[in-house]
Amino acid sequence: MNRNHLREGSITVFIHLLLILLTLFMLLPFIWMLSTSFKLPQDVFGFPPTLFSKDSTLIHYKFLIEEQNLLLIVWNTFFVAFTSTALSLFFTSLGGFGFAKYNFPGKEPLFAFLLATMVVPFAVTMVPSFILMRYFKWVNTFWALIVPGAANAFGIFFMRQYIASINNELLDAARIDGATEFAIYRRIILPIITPALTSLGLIFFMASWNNYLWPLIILKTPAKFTIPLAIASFGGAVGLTNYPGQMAMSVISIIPLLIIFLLFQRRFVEGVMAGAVKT
Amino acid sequence: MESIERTTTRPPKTFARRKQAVLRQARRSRWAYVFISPFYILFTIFGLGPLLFSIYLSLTEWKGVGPLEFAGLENYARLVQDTVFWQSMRNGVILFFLYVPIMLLLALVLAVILNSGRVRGYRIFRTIVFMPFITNMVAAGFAFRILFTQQYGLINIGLGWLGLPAVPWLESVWGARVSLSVLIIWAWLGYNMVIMMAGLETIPRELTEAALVDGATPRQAFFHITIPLMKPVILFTAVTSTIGSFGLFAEVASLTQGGPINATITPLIRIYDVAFGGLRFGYASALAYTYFAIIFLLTIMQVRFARERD
Amino acid sequence: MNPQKLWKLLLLLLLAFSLSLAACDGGTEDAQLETPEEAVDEEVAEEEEAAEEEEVAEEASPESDEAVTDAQAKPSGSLLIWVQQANQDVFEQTVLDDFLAEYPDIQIEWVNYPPDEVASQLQVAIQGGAGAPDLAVTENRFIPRLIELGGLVDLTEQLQPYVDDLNPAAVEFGSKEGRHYSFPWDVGPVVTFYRRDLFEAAGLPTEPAEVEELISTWDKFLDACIQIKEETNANCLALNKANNYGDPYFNMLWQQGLDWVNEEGQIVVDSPQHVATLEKLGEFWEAEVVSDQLEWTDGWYAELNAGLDDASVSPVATVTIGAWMGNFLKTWIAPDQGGNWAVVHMPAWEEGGARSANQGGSAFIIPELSSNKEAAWAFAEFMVGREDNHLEIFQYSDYFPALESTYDAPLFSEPDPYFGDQVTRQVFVDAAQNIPNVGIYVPENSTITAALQTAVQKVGLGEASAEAALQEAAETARLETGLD
Repeated sequence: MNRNHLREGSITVFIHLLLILLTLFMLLPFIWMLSTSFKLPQDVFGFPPTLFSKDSTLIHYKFLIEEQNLLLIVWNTFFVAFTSTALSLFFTSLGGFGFAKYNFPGKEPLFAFLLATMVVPFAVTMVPSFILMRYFKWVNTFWALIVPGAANAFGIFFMRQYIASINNELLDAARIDGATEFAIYRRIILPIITPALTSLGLIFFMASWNNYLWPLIILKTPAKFTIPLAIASFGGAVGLTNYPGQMAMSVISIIPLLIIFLLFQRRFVEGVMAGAVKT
Repeated sequence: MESIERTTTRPPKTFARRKQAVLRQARRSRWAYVFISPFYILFTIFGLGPLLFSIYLSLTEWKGVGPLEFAGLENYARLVQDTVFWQSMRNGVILFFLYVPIMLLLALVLAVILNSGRVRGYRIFRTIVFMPFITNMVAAGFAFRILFTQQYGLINIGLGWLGLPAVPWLESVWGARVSLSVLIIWAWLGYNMVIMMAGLETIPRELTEAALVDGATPRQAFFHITIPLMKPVILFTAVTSTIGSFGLFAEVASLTQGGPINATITPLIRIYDVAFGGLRFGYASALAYTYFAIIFLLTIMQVRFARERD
Repeated sequence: MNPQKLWKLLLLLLLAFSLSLAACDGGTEDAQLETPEEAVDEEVAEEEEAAEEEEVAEEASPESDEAVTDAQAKPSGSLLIWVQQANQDVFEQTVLDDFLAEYPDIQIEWVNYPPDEVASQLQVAIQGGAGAPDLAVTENRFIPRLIELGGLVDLTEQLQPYVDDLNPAAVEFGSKEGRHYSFPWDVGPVVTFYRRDLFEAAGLPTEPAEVEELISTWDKFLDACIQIKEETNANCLALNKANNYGDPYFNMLWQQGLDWVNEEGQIVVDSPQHVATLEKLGEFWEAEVVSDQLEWTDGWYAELNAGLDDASVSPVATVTIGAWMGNFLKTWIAPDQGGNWAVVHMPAWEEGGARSANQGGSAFIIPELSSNKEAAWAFAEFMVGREDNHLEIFQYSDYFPALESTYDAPLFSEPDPYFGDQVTRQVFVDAAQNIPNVGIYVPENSTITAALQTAVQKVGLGEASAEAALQEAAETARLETGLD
């Protein structure tokens, strides 16, 4: 018994040690990002390293606002993320509703086809999609970031799962009252699936906010840049690399998502879990 | 209409009702087509169209402007000898072995610990571990770059304090691969942990508790009960991580730029370089299709492998 | 109806569909897109076409701009220029105000990219048919690729008054089949900058005339390096292994007239001379007289600016690089080392061989997509076509003029206090006029360069012999470019 207790004790110590170490590992890059963003360029690699030096400064944030069009870049990113999320939520919930609550010829093969499209990696469509965007004259416009992915297969699948659990009697009652099918979607389905919309919306928003490769291919002028592009194009010119400015931009890119994440953490995690486990 | 109904043997009322119901359902199902149509329209234009065009493109030589020159299977013959492309595929495999086992084991152990309910403040911990998942990888990559800098990077200074020599993290083949793996583990540990936690909730707690009562050690319970039951979840995370390690882009672009000597270049970066750096859209398409085929086969093999071990 | 319009119509229908669905229920689904933007884009495209026609009409303006009094003939409007930050500074610190005074109706908008990215971003913009600037300054070596894409304005007519005075090598970069597509700004004669104080501490001669002789070949240079290392423990040059850009190797090749392809367009990077050259570079790693700092990083700048007895950073004794480096050292890399840096010709491959090569150098180019080609040309011509302005820019920047008619100016024989009153520009002029034939630039150059960089890195890291690494590079390059 005593020995058991001892073992229990040492396990508990081990577990807590592991968790503390991991917490440090997880936080270190964030802390260093923040600390670097307040340093003067010559102090970034100062020795010994300091967390917050006496010369801490906000000049890099000021520089971002005054010289780097920060507000415009944040707006671009937000506009694209918000619009594409809204459009995606509409199309995916509508599609999920269609698959969950109707029987129609060809339903099974159509759904199988939808699932199959999910295995196509971006690498395969990257080049021809760019050519198509050029053909549409959508290069360097936000259209190319918003429209092509607006009816996401994963989203429809996710919504179908959720909507299938809604009781059919509710829908039939509405039909007897003479509601159109779209009104049923609008009046009954949408209010019920709000939690699912939130989960999925958060994931869509995050994906768009952080997307790098496709915007890199599409957006050409700095006035159209989204935040990840702005971080990547930072400094780099012959001269001292402006690490603090770059890190300041990074901090700004993370804060909005972090706030949203902390506010909606449960929904966020649910979205991730549901997406993974049900596949 | 009515006269026909009357001649049937079935009770007329039921039939009429049923027919009406069928008609109504047919009318309703027309709406279903409308509801699901956006996906199929968008996919036809932005998915299927490009995919098919890309097959044709892979049989041509095209710089993105001017005429397409038909080249037959030349591009595919060429890629067989493309050492950089195969290096990039190899890098995907190497990266997989470098980080996937560690990451998944760590994620599973953490999930078990958090699920056991013995840790106070586990919500805070979960939040912290999950935070990198919402961070964009360009920012994270550059932050790690600063941390891993050879001279006066924080990591090497830390090693110095422990009396260890500085490591050329981004200046050597294996250093760069390890740095990249650390970044990926940092970014994806929380995600995998959350999925494992969801999986654990489907395992009845009594199972492990009963085993412990019967005298099994926690370690035995973990390896003989938890892991076998979690197999589908582990498989899912392994498959996603495999696909993920071949398709890395932002992480590599910001942390190592694919170097040194192409040690961290990934297939996706190779395809991007060939298309948008080297102006060879036809060849890039051939690479992309080959890459797709290989990834597809790898995934199937992984699933098979997991099944056979049952 | 053309198919492109048809697709767009389909999409609009799809959008309309989603909006009307929302509307039929009175719901307010948030799917409204900013449609005006597309309209604007199309307008811009039309304007561009119009501008192009105009440009053809009024092509005969150069030389006598002072005489222009008619305000209507003067270019105006906004001018979007892509340059690297350092170049923008050069304009701003020199004659930009004069330009704006002369062309008050032009509003300049700057966009900065890292040096290599101006060209690569421009390339994607040309391929994408949108998002290009009105004018760009890019390194010469990227220009053939852009010409090949058909994305640059033919400047042959406008360049006529200047072409005979321009450095032929620089003009060649921007030419295809006798047509000229660039206005060369500068060339990059390679020279060796060295630290007098370190040479002195090592017991070596310090005056340029003696150092010229001391390091007249790479073999003799290596001997000097070994002595510096032994006597002072300082490194002789920075030569990174894992991420080497290949520039030191390329300079050694170019000074021998060696290039990536031969006149038949065959890739020759695995020739015995190429191998021997890379082996020579490898000797510097083997002798352990080099630091591992990568060019253009903070660590490298610190080495170039470090004092003899600096406790934290060990100084580096030489850097062999384009003449434009002189200004960088002076202004922001090594301002603390005034009087210590000096300059000589680069070492030759063998005694009596060329002690010069071309590294860098840039030119103005105007993309076909430019929406203000007149203002773009006016800017380029003002900056580098007029001798006064060009000289002022040179004096400030040390970007060595491609316009050879400027070489007679007194400026070229003035001593430079930063370099211990050495008349550095005479070294530059001599190097510029002795640049060996830079060879044949092909659009595939960058692909081959990437393969060569990997080869240099492999040798640096000891992963392969020079011969094996270059053979692999040549095979890779042949495969990727389709050249023999």
